[in-house]
Amino acid sequence: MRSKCCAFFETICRILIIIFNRRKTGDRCVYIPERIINRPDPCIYSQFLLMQLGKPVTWANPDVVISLAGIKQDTYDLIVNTTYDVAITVHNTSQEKEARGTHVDVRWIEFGAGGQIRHHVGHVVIDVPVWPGVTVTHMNWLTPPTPGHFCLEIELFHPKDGNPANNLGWNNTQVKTAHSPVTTSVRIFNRYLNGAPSRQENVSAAHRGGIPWNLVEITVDSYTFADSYGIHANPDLMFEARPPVWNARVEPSLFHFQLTETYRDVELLIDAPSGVGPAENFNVTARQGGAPLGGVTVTVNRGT
Amino acid sequence: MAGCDAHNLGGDNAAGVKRVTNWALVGAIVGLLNVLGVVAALGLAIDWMVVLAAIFGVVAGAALGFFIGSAWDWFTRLKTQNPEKITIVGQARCAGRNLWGLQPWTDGDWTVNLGNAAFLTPTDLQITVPAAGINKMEEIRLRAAPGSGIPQAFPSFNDEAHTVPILHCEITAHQGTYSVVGGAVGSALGTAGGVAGGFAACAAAGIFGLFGAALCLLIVAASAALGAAAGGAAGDVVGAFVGWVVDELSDFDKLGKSIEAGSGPGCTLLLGGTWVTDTSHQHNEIHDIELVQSYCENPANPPSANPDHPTNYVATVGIGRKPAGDEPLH
Repeated sequence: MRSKCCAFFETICRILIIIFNRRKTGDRCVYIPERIINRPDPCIYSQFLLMQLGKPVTWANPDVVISLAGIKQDTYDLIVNTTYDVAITVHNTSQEKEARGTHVDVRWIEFGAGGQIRHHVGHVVIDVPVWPGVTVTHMNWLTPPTPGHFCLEIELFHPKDGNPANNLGWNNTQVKTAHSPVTTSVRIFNRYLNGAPSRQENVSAAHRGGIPWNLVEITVDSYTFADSYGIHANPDLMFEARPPVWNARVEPSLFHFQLTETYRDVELLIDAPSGVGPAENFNVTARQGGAPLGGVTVTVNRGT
Repeated sequence: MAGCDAHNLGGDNAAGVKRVTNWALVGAIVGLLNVLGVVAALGLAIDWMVVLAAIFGVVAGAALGFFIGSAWDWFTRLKTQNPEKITIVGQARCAGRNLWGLQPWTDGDWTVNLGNAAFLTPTDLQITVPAAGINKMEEIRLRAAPGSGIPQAFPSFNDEAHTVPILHCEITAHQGTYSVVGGAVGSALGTAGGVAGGFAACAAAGIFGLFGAALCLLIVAASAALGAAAGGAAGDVVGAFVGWVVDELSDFDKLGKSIEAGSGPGCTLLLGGTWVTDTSHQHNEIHDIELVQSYCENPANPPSANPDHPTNYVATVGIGRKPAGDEPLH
C-alpha cells in the first residue's frame, strides 16, 4: 500500500516536472529506450535474409558444422543410425544487450530446396553475449535408420529480437569428385502444395504481378563466403558475386509447378576439368514465386 | 524538427480531411432539419429569429459532426494489410516529429521517410500488384489494404517532384488520439450542455409563448452552436495537452529521437511494424513502427563506390559479422 502511494506521488511529481519543464536541473541518467530500439539480436548466417537483400549465398553454412569423430561432414552423405555432433555458432549484433534465453531449434529436412516436412533434431536455450561475442552450442544428432539425404535447418527465437529476418539458416552440402560432366540431382519442393497462396487466389491471371506463385527460378554460381569480423569484414568483398568457375547449368532452370505437384527433380551439370586443382563450389539456389525457397552447395573435388 | 511529409503521385492526399468535411456537412443538415422540425412543430412563422436560429442550428450540427467525424476517421483510417507485420531496411530521407498534436490538423507523431528501401520479411510475400513488377518493395508501397476502398495505393515520394521514392513510417503519439477523443467528447457534451442551458435560460426568463418560443429557439440554437464549437475546441486542446503529458511520461519522444539519431549520413535503418494503407492520404505506411535497428558505418572508412554498398553493409550486420548501431573504430 505504501509503495503504491509512493508510486502515485512520484507520477504526480513527474507530471508536474513535465508541465513546468523543470528537467533542465539535471537528470544525469542516460536513458536508452528498449521498447522498439536497442534490443538483443541473436542471428546466424541466414541465406534467406541474404537472398531478400539480393546477395549471393552459400548453403555450406559457415555457422554450422556437422562432424563425426572430429571430422567435418556433408549433409548429403551422412550414415544412417549414426550420432553426429552438430555445432552451431550464434552471433548477436547488439553491442549492448545480451541475447539471454535464445531458443535454438534444429531440424532436418530432405536434401534439396524447399522441403516442407521438418523433423526435430534438437532444441537448446542459450545465452549469447554482446557483439563480437558468440556462443557455440553443440548437440548430438542420431540420423534416421532409413537411408536418405539431409539438409539441416536452424531457427533462432528470442522474444525481444531486434531483427526477425536473420534467424533462419540452412546447411545443405554435397561433395562430388571431378569427372566431366559432374551431374547430380536436386529435388525442388513445391511450397504451395494447395495451390496459389490466398493473396493471389482472388486476383485474375491478367492482373497478377510479375511473378506467378508456381514459377520456380534456379540459379547456379560459385560464390564463396569469405568470413571475417568487424573492421576486417569488407561488405563489398564479402558479397562479391562469382559466376560458375566452370561451365555449369541446371536443367531445367525455370519451370512452373503444376497444381498439387509435390516436387520436381532438376539436374545440375558441371563440365569439370580433369587434372589437378583446387576444389570448387557450386551453389544451386531456388526461388518460387519470387520468394527464397532454398538451395544446395555442391563441392567438386579435383585431384591433388 | 518538423515531421516528414509524403508527396503522393496521384490519389487524394486530403481524403481524410474531405471525409471529415462530409461529416460536418451532414451534421449541418441534421442541425438545420432539427431547427426546421421544431419550427414546424410549434407552427412558428418564418422571421429573422427563426432564420438566425436555423443558422445556429447549422453551425451546431456542423461543429458536432466535425469533431465526431474527426474521431471516427482517426480510428478507422488505417487499414491493416495481410501480412500484418513486415520488416524493411533502407535509408532515412527525412526523420522528425510532427508539430503539436491538435487533431485534425496535426498529430504529434514521429515520422520517418525510408528511401532506397529493401523488403526483408515475411520472405514469402506474394506480388499481386502488376505495377510492382518483380519488386517486393513496390508491392509494399502499392498494394491497397482490404477495406481501403481504393484499387491501389498511391506511391509516396520524399519530394514534391516525385524523384525520391519512400515508404512513410510513423510512431503514433498519444496527443492525436487524446485530442480527437477530447474534441468529440467536448463537442457532444458542449452541445448537450448548450441545449440544456438554453432551455434553462428560457425557463428562468419565463419567455415561453408564441413570440417567446421563437426567441427561446434562437437561444437554444445559439447556445448549442456555442457549446458544440467551444466544447469541441476545448476538448481538443485539453486532450492534446493530456496526450502530450502521457507522451512525455512514456518513452515516445526518446524512441523518436533515437530513430532520428540513427538517420544520419552513413546510417541504414531496419524498421519493422504494422503494414497499413492510410486512407487519409491513400498511401501505404508502416504504422506503428515496432522495431528499429540502425547501422552506422565507421565515418573513418572511405566511402564505397559500389552502388550495392548499403545493402552489402546491412547484410554484413545481419549475419553478425558487424554490429548494429555504430561501427566500432577499432
